[in-house]
Amino acid sequence: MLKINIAKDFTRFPSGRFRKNGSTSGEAFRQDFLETPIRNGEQITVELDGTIGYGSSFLEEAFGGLVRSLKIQAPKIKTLLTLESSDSTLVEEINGYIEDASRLLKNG
Amino acid sequence: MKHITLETRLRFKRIARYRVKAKKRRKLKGKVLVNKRFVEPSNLIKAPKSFDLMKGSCSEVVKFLRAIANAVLNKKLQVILNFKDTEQFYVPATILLYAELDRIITLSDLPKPISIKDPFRRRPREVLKQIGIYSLTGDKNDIVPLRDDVVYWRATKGSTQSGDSFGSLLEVIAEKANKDHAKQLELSGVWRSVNEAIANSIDHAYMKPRFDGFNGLDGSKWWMFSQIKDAVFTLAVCDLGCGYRQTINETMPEKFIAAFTATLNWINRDAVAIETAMEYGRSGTRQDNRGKGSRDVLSLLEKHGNGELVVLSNTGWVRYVYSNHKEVEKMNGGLNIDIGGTIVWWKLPLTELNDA
Repeated sequence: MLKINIAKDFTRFPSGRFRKNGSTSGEAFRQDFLETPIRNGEQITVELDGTIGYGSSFLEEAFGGLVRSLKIQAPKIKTLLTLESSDSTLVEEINGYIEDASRLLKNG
Repeated sequence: MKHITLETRLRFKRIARYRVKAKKRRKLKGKVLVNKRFVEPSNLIKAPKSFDLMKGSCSEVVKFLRAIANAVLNKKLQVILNFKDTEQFYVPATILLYAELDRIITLSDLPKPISIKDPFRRRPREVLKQIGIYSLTGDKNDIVPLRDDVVYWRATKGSTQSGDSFGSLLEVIAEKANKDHAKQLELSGVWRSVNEAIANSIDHAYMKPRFDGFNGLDGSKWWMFSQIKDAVFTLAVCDLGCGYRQTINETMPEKFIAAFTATLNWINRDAVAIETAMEYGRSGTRQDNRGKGSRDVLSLLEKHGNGELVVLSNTGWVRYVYSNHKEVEKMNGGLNIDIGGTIVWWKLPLTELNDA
């Protein structure tokens, strides 16, 4: 199982949606750390603690963006992706983004 | 008659030459030839006594900034800003001053477009030094900021949303706030709100040119300012873009705008646009993955419990007041002049309610 600690492996200051807006963006994290293992069906654990905080655009693009870029529905992503955080609302929020993106994908 | 020696004659000639030169020097003392002057007296622009956008000196501040832009960018003149009588700097006007001076200096092709005549009082001098105005203009000032209400003013800017540039600054200021005060500032909440304010500046503010045709610099798209004063943490993010009113039609569904604005009967259309954007973020009626920013801008108040958020955009403003994690007051209004940008400004008290 692959384990990623955002603060140690990516940045302590996650911010922004798109890569063009900065190297610490949600899109950059998704493309560099999440897409390949999820596409290959690998189990992956993401540790969210240790950063300064998260903006919703970072979280939406990193995790909701997975649904859009890989065209995979929420149940499949949730079986492969485990989120760890001392703040349970953060995990709920991310799951919400994945569900929303999945719903939009289903509705075309 | 006594004959003078050659040596004495030469000495007299030297003295005569010296006297002619000294006479010329005396004549010119205190006067510099017009073509040698650094700045014409007419290019001395007087700064307002108080830099504030909300308490009456708004049009004075904006006219001052427009006069600088007009002289430097249109007339290609070097100017001196006379801060001699300036006494007070408040956050929104100060961040606007910092952003506009940065814009004007960046766009100007003059070697040193702006110089500063120092404020007479020490505190405003310290403020200008602390936030980096002297560095922007290239003026020398050896004053060392010492006052408690000045040394925790911080200004920064950026063109991207890369968190490394402003993350460390927020960490330092939050550490200071939490060390000295009872009520703790939760950095993750600050981060979320600031991030979204900066995202709005980058993604939306420069979609269209503003009233004077300006539509963004490559090097700086947002300016940020933080301060701890009288046990209140203040943070402001500013852009010099076209404002909420110009962009809401492109960032929100028409149906939502029509339905929401129909419930409002305000006169100021900029204030209506700000309120609409805030409501769209909170409403949960979003139809795509965008447009959550304004909700995050308010979330800092919900998380901190008490405080104020003021959003100023062009000629309008909206103010939210929170107490015990709930909105207790919402006000709006109009400014008597277009500030040429958007300022999002949080004020969070660092004392518990019952301590105050």
